[in-house]
Amino acid sequence: MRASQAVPFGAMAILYHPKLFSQHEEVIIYERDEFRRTFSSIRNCIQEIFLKNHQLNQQQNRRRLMGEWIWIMKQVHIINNDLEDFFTETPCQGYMDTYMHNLVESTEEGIMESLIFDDARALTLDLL
Amino acid sequence: MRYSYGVMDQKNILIYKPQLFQKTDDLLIFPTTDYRKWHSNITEYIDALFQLNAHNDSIDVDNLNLALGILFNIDLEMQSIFEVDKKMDHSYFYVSQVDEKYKKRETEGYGRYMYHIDRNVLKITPMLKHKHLMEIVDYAHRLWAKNDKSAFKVKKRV
Repeated sequence: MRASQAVPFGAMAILYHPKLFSQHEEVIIYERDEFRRTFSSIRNCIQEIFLKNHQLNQQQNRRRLMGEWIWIMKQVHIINNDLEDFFTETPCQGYMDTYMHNLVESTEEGIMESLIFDDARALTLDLL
Repeated sequence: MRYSYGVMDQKNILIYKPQLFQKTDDLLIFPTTDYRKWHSNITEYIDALFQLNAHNDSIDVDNLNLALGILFNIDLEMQSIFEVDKKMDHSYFYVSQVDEKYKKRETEGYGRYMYHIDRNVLKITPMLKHKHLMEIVDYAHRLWAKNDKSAFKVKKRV
């Protein structure tokens, strides 16, 4: 999927990679840290299930399967909640973060200078 | 979670709800159709897991392997979020129609063991206090009786 980072400037957002999007295309905008929080929470849940399965395989103990299945469904429930979080407007942890009043006025030129015009492929999962 | 739609206007983006974002925030921007498709793909997989759970009362190894396969697919889908070249199939969007009752979380035995978990707490009256004291005294008496016997035996041996 095409994706780009951006910096807010008034009612506008200035893009890192404007060439990726076509003119008048509708886009969806997230705050990066909030997106990272839910995204990595989902991935962590999946990783935990894989690790648990690995443990089961190593112990050769298939009798514990029923108990583990309930645990797996619990993780799936968390994943489902996180997925719904992407399209709900209820506050999440991000709202509770402290707000520092910033007196420095941002100018469009200043933002443009600070942007990194790398290759569009530079955006990877490590950044999240 | 805060999110807003926007539209591409020349080189920049017009945000529909700019009040949600602060000056110092970093934003992530996706094309709406692609993002919706990506999200619906994952919800489809998750719904499959819920169906698997609802259909089978007792889980066996095959079902577990199936569930792990689905989870692996979700992981692949999540890893490919920033792949620019990946093209998405926009011919259909999945809308979740699974009943809420299948998505409910299973209880952890609280209902069955409710009476063991929430025990009634007694009010401590002077009467109860006295009773408790006497119980301790009785117990102490018994211990003393035991001790006396053993001490007696030891003395005899010497």
